[in-house]
Amino acid sequence: MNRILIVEDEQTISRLIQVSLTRAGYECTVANDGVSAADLIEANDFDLALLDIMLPGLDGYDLLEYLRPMGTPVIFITAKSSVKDRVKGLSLGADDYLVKPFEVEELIARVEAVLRRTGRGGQTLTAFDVTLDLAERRVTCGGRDVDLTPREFALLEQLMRNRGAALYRDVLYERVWGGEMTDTRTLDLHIQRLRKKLNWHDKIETVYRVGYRLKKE
Amino acid sequence: MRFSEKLVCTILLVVVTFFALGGSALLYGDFRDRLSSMAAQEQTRHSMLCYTLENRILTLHRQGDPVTEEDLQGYVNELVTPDGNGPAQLAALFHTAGDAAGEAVYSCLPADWAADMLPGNGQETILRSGDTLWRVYCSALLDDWTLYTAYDLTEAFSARARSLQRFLLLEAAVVIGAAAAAAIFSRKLIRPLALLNRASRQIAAGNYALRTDVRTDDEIGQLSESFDSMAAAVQDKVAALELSVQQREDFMGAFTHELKTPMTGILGYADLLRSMQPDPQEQREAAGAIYHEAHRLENLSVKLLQLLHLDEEELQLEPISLDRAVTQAVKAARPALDQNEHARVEALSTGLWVQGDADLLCDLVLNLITNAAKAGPGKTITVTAQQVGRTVLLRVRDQGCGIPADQLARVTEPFYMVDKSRARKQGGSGLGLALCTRIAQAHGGTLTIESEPGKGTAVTVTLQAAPQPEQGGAR
Repeated sequence: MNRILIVEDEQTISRLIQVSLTRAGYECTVANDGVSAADLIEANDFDLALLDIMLPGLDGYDLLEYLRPMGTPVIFITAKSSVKDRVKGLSLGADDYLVKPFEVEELIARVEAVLRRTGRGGQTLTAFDVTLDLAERRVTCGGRDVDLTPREFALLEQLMRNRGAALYRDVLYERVWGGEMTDTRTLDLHIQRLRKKLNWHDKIETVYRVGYRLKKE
Repeated sequence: MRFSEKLVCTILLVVVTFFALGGSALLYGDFRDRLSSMAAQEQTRHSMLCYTLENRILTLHRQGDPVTEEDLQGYVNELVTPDGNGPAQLAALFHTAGDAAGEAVYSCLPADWAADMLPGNGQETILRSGDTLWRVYCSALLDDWTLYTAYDLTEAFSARARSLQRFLLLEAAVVIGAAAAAAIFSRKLIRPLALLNRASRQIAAGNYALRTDVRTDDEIGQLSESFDSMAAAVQDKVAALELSVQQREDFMGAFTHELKTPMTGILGYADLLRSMQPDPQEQREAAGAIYHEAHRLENLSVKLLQLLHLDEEELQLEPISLDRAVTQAVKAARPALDQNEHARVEALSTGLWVQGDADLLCDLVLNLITNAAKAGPGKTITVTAQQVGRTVLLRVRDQGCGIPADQLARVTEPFYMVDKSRARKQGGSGLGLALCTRIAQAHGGTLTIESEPGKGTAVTVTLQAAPQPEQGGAR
């Protein structure tokens, strides 16, 4: 499990990131100011740090100085959206730059991309005996390859990313197919095919009037 | 052509012209003096010759001997023969019989001189023969004898030529010397100009802090001084411009931060709620976060609009009862007071009236009371007012946590928060004191903050006193 440090002085946002990343399968530590973040960095070895730039105490740029010698990848999360600020952040050695307001989906995608790029994981999702390889877009079930269509793959990814949560059908549809859901049958059909291919008849649960949920282990 | 070259050329032209004029005058005068001193000598010799001849003629007359041409011829010849004493001398003796033209009895004058070129009696003239100039004198003697003498002037002319040559050499030396001196001096004179030029170029290129600093008490120094004051003015303007740009950038940066942070929270939690059914506790947390962040945005927009409004419009001030404004504010502040462990407000009735806008004044007091309540939950807030001359001092004092001295100056900046996380929890936007300062300014007053960390803060607003209106007047 990848360990991620979240440094953000706005508690609403740090909590939001923490909740979302924990659900996506990361171990999160939160610091609300620069000094406690620096202490955490010294005492721990994180796989990734999400840094706000405007922080009380040490700012994000200072923290980057702490993190760089340790080789910890960094993503800046900030309201500063000008090209100048982005260039400054990236040229100082940040691995990515995310501008507020951001969508949680995007944040997770970028976290994964950075982890993948720096060879720190983020390539695979695992649930029960199924492993989903995001880099090679391959799914194995109990060690054997399973052929999935791109839609099925995306659907499985959504379920695995949000384990234990009941996902609304329209949102699932929106995220996998894009756009408004026109008929419910398409989604239901794909779910059935996934259940069959992975032998997950009891693992993907149907939640009444909501949608589907992948059971927690 | 460079200015220093122009200067050198001009100086040289002047020097050469005046030196040539002066030298010529000197040479000419010298030459004339020489000629006239020679003339005196020549006349003496001519007169001596005349005298000797006349003497001879008179002697012959006295002895009763006839005056013969041969006799005089020989005499003249003997006299004229160079004796190594003074310049060469020529002579001619003519004898005029009756009206007939004179006949040369003796002549060693050059043959190319016609008789009519020779001067008349008592006159003199200068005649040329070959390369030599002669001055010819004429005197009529006794018995129709006429004597001509001619003296060599070559010496005078060659002396003049030698002087001229010397003068030309001297002039050349003077020109070279003057050129060198002028070049050195002009470079020295031009140096400040070159400095000025270099400095002004750099200033024009954007180095506004540079000064030309040429310290001379002439026009160049004055020019440098004017240029420096111009550069200073430009620097001030540019600095002011940069400051205003910086302030706007800071404001925009803080504003986008204040805007985007709640928006991120709202978007994120709303997305969570709409995409899945979380457990009830998470659901409550998400809904709570959305509510609080939206509230923050609303708070921000209200204050921001007030600020913009204050910037746009000139206020119509009217007499306002301070007591009424404070009472109204305390009433509006009730929720904030209750939230902060029921902080109390003590506001004494003062009966003072001020020039103001009722709503804004109420907002001002409300903001100050809310701030005070947040700073010291459960403590007492005192609102006092006193009139000093034509101004009214309105003071809101709390017993709260106070403001660190180094941050006192910054708390009135928009979006500045001493303790950001505390301000957030209490729903602060960071605009309250900025707004209060603007309201005070719009009333022609000031807002000053005194604070002691741990003991409390006192905010004093100065307002213009107004006379109490007649009954039934303004509110």
